[in-house]
Amino acid sequence: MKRDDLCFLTIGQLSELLRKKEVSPVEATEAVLSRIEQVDERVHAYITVTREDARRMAQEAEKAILSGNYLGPLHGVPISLKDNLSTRGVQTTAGSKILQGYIPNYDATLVERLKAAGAVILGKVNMHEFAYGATTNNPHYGPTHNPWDIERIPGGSSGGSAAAVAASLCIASIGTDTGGSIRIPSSLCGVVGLKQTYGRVSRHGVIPLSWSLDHAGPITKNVEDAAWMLQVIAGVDPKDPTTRDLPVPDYAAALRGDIQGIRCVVPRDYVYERLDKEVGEAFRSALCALAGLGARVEEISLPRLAHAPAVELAIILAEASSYHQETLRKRAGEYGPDVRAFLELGELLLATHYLKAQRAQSLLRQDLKEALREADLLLTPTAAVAAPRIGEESIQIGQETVDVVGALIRLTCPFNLTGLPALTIPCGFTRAGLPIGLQIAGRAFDEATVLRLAHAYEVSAPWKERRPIL
Amino acid sequence: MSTKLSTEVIHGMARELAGLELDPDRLKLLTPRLEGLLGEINRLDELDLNEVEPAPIIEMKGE
Repeated sequence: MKRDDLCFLTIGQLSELLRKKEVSPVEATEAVLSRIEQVDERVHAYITVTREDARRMAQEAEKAILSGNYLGPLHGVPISLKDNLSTRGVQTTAGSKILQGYIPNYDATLVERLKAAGAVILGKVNMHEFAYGATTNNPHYGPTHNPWDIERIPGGSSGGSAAAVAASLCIASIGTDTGGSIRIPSSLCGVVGLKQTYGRVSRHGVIPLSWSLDHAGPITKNVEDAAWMLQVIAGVDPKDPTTRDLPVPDYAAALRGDIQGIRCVVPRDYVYERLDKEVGEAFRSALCALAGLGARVEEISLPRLAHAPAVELAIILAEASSYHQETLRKRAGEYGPDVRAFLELGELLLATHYLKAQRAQSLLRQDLKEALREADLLLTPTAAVAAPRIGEESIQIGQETVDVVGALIRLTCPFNLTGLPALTIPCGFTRAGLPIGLQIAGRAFDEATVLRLAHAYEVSAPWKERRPIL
Repeated sequence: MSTKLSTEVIHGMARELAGLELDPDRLKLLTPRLEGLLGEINRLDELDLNEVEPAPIIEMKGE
């Protein structure tokens, strides 16, 4: 294999070569750094590339592996981090001008865990400012471009992470997700994104958007890699009281299970309302493929889900405006226009609006819990549309003109409100060559079943080797 | 419930209740968006919320 091709490998493939000492972490890191040099000008995934730190970490990994201290599948693997994860000694901007130059003196818990597992950190990737949006059209650092069509958005808010993974500018990445911010860009960029159960992964050191809805999780080239990443970052953290002290299963082992008889449900009224035709076709084909693999797929009705976006928005607006209250009064002009408007709107909501949303949130949780009492998994498309063009604010679905952000978050936000695990996996392409995602959601803390179905589907999918040409 | 708002009301709310000064351009931008948002939130009344407690309370009770 040519050195340049190392950047196209998955964690599973690369770690096997690293473990056998057929490739060194230094070679793998240099291959990806070289790819960043060549390609990132067009994609603009990174805000900060920490070349020298990455080289040092790769050399340390090489030394450890050569002396027989192999730590596991992430050892020596070059990854990127969304720029709202605190990194000791490395600028952490959250995609904002306000935090430009902020250098934390500690690592977020999940960054600590990735480093302890031997991962090589390449740098910090672009995002929607303060994770408050779904486009990654960042006014301060420039827009990130979708590697499948650079005129289009990668989605957001973890757009830099998903674009970097799709363009092989890292082997894997970590994103955060408050209304779909891992799954939306992963879907639009044709990669795998996992938002695990609320409480499964520590958010200590993650710059918050909305305390009760924020999650952090992996964005990877395939399902197995998501399992490897989750294995490392999952688990209770005394520094984050919202994490739960529950056993962390062997996620990679869970991939090998059978999916025969797994019961999947599709909330038909919610899914098919305002859905792009090509997305709908790909979704129905995915359902047929899953049925062909032995899963039982049935439709159900969950009419109250139609209120999920309003509930989501009311909660985010109130919590985000509370977090930014002081800064908004002192530095309003330094926020991008869309984020500033959201923060001002949040100031004008009443406490009773926030509580009304949280009471409605209880009903949505009850509905999904009921649906998943009999069924193992719930399926939807991830986003109602494929990647819109950069700067587009509304989009046509059939005869209707809809708001881009609304179309992107409609199907993902119920799983932030309920805290349930949800993963996106590519399930096809539009005729224009844009990826489409299938969302698989499961019961609380049952990421293993989500990963198992996703893996079975992925293995059967004809496009798993397809890559964007850059 | 009607969610028609005037820029004067928003200006007063922002200044007096939130301590936030909004100039006329911002008021013009925010007022229709707030109307739309409040309309969506008020539509949650279609759900029967009378006996329902907020999600964090239910979470604390472990239900």
